Amino acid sequence: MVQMFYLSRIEHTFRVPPSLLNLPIEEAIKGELEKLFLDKVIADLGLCVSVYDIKSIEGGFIFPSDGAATYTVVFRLIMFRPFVGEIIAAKVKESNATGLRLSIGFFDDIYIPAHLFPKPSSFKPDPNKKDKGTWEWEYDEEPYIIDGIDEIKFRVHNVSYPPIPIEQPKEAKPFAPMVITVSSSPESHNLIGICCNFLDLIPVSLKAYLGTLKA
Amino acid sequence: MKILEANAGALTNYEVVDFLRSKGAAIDSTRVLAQVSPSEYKVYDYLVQTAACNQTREHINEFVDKCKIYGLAKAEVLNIINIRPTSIIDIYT
Repeated sequence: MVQMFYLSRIEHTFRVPPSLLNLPIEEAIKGELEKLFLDKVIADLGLCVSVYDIKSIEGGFIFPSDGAATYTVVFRLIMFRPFVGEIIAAKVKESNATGLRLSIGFFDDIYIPAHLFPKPSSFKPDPNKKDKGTWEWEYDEEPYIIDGIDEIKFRVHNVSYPPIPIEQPKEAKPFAPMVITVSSSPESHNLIGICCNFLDLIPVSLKAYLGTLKA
Repeated sequence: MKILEANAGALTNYEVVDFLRSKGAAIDSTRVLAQVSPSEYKVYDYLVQTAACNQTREHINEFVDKCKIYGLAKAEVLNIINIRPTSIIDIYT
């Protein structure tokens, strides 16, 4: 079954800090789960959007020399995990010579590499800034410029989860645990000037890695 | 951490919107009071712009019943509910 949002059932053992002892147990556990999982990427599962519900709570033992109780909780999370071939509507975030970068508000690491653009299209470098520029798509002798207003439909091509790097050079961009590569092939396009729809399958590389919770 | 079931069920966009709404998400400026975190709000903002924002559970149930005649796969029905195609091009993809 292929969808954008999935439910995943997870079991996790963690401690609840003593400062939360005055709250009802479900609230305290839900708060801790949200702090631990929300907005984090889990390898092969995707990006955690929300805690759906708690199935069971066990434990509550207090280990020696510890002030907090430890619980084993089974719960369900809503995960965002687009499948290969899915169509997503996204806004252009930035464009440079290597390709286009898109954003859907809560997830920004969506890339279109240059070779996955519809053919023919070309890149016009911006005279003011070295790295940035605009991409143009030529169809029927008319160039369509992809700029910041357009919302474009893309097809997921590949999802990859790069492993966490040990060291990074200073200028590298912040680590992206989940990278979606998409392609835009114009199988349908809307010829109204403002909006161009490229339906293309872009490899979605979701590189997800949840480092702290890899146990 | 143990993953018991990676895929415990697919959700339509409408179900995610409904779940976030029941937690207290809304479009207006009462955001500070609800227990919805900012990252959940971003998801809600994105989904509200799609077709999911003005569906209801009755609509979806009715749609699924009517689609039974055609014998579509469950994934296809889910995708149609999410994308809400208005032209042949949308259905083709």
